[in-house]
Amino acid sequence: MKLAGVNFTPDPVPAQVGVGLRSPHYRDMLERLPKIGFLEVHSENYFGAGGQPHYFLQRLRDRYPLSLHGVGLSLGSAEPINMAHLRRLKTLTERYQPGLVSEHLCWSSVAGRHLNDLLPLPYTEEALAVVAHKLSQAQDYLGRQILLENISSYLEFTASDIPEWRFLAELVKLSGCGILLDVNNIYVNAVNHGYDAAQFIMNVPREAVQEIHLAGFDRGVGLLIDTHGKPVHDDVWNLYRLALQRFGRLPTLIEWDTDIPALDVLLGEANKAKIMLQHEDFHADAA
Amino acid sequence: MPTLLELQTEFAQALFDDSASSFNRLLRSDTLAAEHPLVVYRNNVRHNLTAALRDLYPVALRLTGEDWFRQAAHGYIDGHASRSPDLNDYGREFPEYLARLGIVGEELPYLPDSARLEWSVHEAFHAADAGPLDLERLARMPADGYGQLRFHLHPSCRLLQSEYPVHRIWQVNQPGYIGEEGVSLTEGGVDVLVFRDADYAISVEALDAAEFRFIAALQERQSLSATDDALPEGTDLGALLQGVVARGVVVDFSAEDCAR
Repeated sequence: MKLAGVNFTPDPVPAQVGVGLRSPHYRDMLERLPKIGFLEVHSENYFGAGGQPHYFLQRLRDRYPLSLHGVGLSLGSAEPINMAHLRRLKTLTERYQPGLVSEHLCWSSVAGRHLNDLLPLPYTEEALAVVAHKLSQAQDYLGRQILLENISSYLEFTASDIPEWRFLAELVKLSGCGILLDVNNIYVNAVNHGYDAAQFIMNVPREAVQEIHLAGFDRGVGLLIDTHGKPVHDDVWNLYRLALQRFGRLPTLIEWDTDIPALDVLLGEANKAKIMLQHEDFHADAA
Repeated sequence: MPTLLELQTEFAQALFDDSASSFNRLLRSDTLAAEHPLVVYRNNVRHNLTAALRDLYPVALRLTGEDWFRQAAHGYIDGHASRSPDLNDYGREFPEYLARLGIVGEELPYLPDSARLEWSVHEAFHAADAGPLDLERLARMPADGYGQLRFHLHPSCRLLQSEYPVHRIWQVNQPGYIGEEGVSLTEGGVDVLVFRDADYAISVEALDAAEFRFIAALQERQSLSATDDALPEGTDLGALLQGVVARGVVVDFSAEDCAR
């Protein structure tokens, strides 16, 4: 048996189920090393120079493929791209060599003021040009493709004249980005804005989707709120099944960000996704 | 139709100004739910920034209580826009903001300094890794060149001075603290060193006057002999150096100026 030249570094993120790594689970994860396909972290949580976050991330990166998920690049802001932020992100991608790097289709800053939230865009030609340009800049600078995630939203702009799925498809064409499809966000928006979630899934460009997100929402007054603080809803599991049928097996992430439960609860959700991912009878090539 | 910049500018204003109802004209009304969607965004933005302040200032939160802290956080958020996409950068001026609030003078005069200590702890937590000091390399330095050596502190090191025993206030308010809970303000002021040790634990320790001046001089990258000049007559420099080396406070040294 020849082992020389074998690369043991688990660089690519496999078409398996992963979980979002959050600090309350650092020690548990490292002690138990549960059988999961990959880990995903919020890039900004590792923008610090050193200390405990990097200690744990480095050790876990040695054991798992990694996906970096950014919440702050604000690709939809009308202002120029934040180079300082992009530099910090590049430091991180060079250090940890993640299999996937993703950001959100949103904006979060204007005139140097940061709202530190994922805010919705008007889906217009102008916004399309802005996002495509900054996305291309970011991809060129990082020297790699970025996956863009559809966000949940609580309002729609009268100015929007492009359906969200087509907006995403145009960005793929213009910038060569990939899509991170958040099935929970599609469901939340479908309920909040009164459209058909299944139709969204059937219209997204199939070959561009490279990762799926699953999470739980809360109920607000007349709105679903995307809190990532609950188990995945049954309707969202059904949409996930539909997504698997259309896109085939894809890296799938369970996210939990508020009221973070014990690691076993998170792993239980991951296991549900794993069963679906493994046993779904795919007809991806027939779609 | 507004440009993207105009729309985002108006959106940001509407998030912090409840009376900015003209923003509604930009929204599709047929999908507006029972609760106005702006309320959701206002809550999210406030919640995120408040959560950042809570994480950063847990001792201030314990000292002042949930309700008071939330109000103070909201007041701070109104006057201090976030200037970074990274929430870890938010809240640096919170101690100065607290100092201007009434409660501080009357009941909690030590609150601003205690909060300053928490910001230092936050910086120390995220500071770069360094060390340990290469003791063999240090041993190879000629003894007569020691005075020219410049020692480097661990990047997490922060020095603070307060008129109150803020190190004790910090310690007794740590989760899982066991020991004497009372802190007497008559203990007086303190010089404090905050740093992160090799096991990533944050250490907050009181220094005597000579230690403080010694570490402050090292922080300015002064040579060992210049450091010695700044210390009180009769200070045992060797013992001070040994102390900081043993605790991992010093992680490196440079000798390039030895020829001078």
